[in-house]
Amino acid sequence: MDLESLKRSYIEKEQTPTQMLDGIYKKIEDDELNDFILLSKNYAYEQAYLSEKRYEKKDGILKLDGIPFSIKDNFAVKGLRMTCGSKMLSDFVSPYDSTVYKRLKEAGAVLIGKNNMDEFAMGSSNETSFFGIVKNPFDKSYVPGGSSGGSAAAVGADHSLFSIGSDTGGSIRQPASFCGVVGFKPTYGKISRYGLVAFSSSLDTVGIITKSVKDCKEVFDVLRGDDGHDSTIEDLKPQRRELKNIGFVEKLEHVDKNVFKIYIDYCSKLEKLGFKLKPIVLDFIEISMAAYKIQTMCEASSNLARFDGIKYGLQHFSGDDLEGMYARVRGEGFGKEVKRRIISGTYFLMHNDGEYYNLSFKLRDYIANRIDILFKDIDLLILPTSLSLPFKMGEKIEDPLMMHLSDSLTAFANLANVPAISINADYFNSLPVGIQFVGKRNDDDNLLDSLSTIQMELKKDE
Amino acid sequence: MSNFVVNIGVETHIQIKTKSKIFCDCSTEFTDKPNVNVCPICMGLPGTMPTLNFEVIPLALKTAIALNCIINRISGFARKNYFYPDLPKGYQITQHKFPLAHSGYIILKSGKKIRIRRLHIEEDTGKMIHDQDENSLLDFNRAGVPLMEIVTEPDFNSKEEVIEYLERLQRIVRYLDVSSANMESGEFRGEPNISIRKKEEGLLGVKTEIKNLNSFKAIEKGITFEIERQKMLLDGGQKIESVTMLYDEKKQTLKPMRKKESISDYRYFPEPDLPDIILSEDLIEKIKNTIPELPEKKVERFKREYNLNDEESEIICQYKDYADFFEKSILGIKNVKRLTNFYIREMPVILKEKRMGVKDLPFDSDKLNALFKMVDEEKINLNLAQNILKEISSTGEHPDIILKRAFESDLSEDDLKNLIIQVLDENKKEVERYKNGEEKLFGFLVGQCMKKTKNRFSPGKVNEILRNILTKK
Repeated sequence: MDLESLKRSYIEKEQTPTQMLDGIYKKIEDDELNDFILLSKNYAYEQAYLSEKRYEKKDGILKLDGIPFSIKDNFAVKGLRMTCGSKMLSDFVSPYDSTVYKRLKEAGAVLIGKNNMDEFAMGSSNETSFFGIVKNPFDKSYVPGGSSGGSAAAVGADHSLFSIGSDTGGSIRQPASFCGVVGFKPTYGKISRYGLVAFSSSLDTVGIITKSVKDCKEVFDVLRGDDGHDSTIEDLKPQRRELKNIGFVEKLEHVDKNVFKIYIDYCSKLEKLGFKLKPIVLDFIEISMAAYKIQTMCEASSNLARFDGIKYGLQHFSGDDLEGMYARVRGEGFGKEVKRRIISGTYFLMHNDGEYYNLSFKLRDYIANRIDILFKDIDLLILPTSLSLPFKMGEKIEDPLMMHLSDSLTAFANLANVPAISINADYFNSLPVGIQFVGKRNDDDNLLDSLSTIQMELKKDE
Repeated sequence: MSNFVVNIGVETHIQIKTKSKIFCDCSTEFTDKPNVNVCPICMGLPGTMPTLNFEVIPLALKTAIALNCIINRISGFARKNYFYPDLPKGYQITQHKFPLAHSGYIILKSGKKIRIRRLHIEEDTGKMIHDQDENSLLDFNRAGVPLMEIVTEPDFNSKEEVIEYLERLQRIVRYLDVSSANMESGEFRGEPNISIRKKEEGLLGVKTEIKNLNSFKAIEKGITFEIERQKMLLDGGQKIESVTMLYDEKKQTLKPMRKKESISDYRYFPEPDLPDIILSEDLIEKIKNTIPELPEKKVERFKREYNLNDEESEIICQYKDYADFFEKSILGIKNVKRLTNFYIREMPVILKEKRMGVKDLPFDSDKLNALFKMVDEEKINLNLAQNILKEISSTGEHPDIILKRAFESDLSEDDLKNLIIQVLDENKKEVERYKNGEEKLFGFLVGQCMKKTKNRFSPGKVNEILRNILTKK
């Protein structure tokens, strides 16, 4: 069910927001996907009650009134736990609201719970969560992708109509692809990051997971714009235009052949719809991975320094001296992958007065430049979202380098600050395969409009 | 003992006078209650982000301009990463490669130029206190309070130069009204770094830094101790290690900080959550125009215009509002020199007694001006003026009223006549000599009458009546 028809069903009294919640909570329990770290039932029923009153009065109905949604557990909601999927914050209750939550609440949406995720958004399979692995709704022995794996699984399994996630190098698009849903990462600076726990501040974006592009656009319009708390916000509106020219790649390294076949088939469908497809060459993927890793690790090592056991989170006060206390808290509170990245980032920053970090910025500029040049000839770039099909639990988790390849087709969009969206293209052996569209910087509205049309046109054919 | 050259550089942290903190809306007001001026942002809670309080920029710019610095049209924030319990985020937001300003100077009285390497803005940390039971307590009221850090080149060769520099710097920021700059409350903190070398050696020696100096006295002592310590080491053939020394006020000693606490690698990198600060020529020009006459200039001008000596001018110009009060109060006065003592002795005593600044006095500069005019026009003498000042400083009344009351309320003109006649009786010899032509004795007699009348009559009046009586006799 999409946002519009759900709202209509409320208006036409086919069901109430409370009934909707009953159904959703039952389904979450029955499905056992472990896609939620926390269910905020009290909050939800309270909001649903207020929403019901508005529908009864038929007055003051809000934009997302009574729509159940979920939010990745690295967003602050006042009074609720915010764990970031980590032992470090397993008891942390936020005393303040993130901007995105605040805006959704003001729009009448009903928060049903907080989604499981890779610890501090570091991971591509949701296997690094302290709260256990999330299962893929299409096949429970498969991972849902990550790091917004709980969010994608929840939307894929109809546990919420939309979910808010975060995308630093593909953390929304890759799980969206694995769970057969839409995952949108806007241009950096469109949606306030205030209240999103920082992983890599210069790359982190707040994004949206939905069933349809149309829904995505509706939620995006609620979230976007300045809030006075995030100085990197710059919500420029593009000139409205039709996007006709699509760049595609004729070959890709390391790609699963079934994924690539679906990709090429999808491109032909687009051609039939009247789009012009132009072959392009993407030769900066490898560079982008190096820049991405250095930048995220450096920033993460600093962003995660605040978890020191002094003011909140995991604490150990007895016995140790200061240094010993830090070691104990951080040694125990962080998982393997998080530690790996903190240590690497610390090293990169220490080396030769931040030489690596500075270099990663130069690479970013280079990549952004190359993308800008590409977009002189095309309006959209189309790529597979992930090189691989959804994989089985445990298949890659012990191989960090393989795992890092998961970001290779997505991270460059974060580095170049351009919008990108993953939508489901097809299935292989009943596992979903997503296709990613990358747009011009600040061209988010045109990207969403075009994709919305594409999605509807292709549905007609089915 | 060998001959040593001392080189000292100074880092000064100055609290910028703003209502709210640099990256959030919390108050900067000083309070004894711990952890009341805090919020999720300055406590560094996960997910929070800094936004710059733009009030800080013009104030820091004013200082940079007054210190003859070059302003960077584009400057930016950086993260200084280290772990300490009073540091909420595990990093301090400061400026590193691109400070707000650089390459300025202050000139000492001797004419020596002290070069200022850079001026940047940053956030303060919290405060860790240890109680009697060895517990460590944390207060984050100060975390996020805006600071300017001003760093000099190692241009000082003595503690006296350091003190003079710091006193001048303190006076400048107070003149600009960019900081209250009180050392006791931590609004103005000087940290010297010291190196010594044998005279014949050209290169600077290894430097050490001294922290926790909360007064000018402490700074003087800290520098003295550290120079002695380094001399002893070098004389004993030992090497000096780069350490941070902590000054202990109670024990009057220096002790090195534990190695663990002194960090060498801060892993600086640009703060991704804050955009660069871009300054327009327009803004810089506007700020330039708000800079008042600076203390050094004022001291010189007062010496010139009001015929003050160096010491007098320095005392009067110590605080801007004091100097302004002075200048307004002597408007139209012919003989200023005679009245300067009011500002060297009487006024400081009154202010000290009342524990207030000139702007809180119950009288304004106009009233003082009226009083000074009476002296200038010889209506009253200095002694009486001092008494009237005392009175207006508690009642706030206009000096005219006090004078009138003094003259009219208890004594009439007849009373005055009688008093004068008494004086003349007591000084018969002098009266005789005056009558025999010693004109200068008239002044002596006036003085005696003034004494007798306890300054309740103006010299003019006493003059007039005395002359009348003397000519009648």
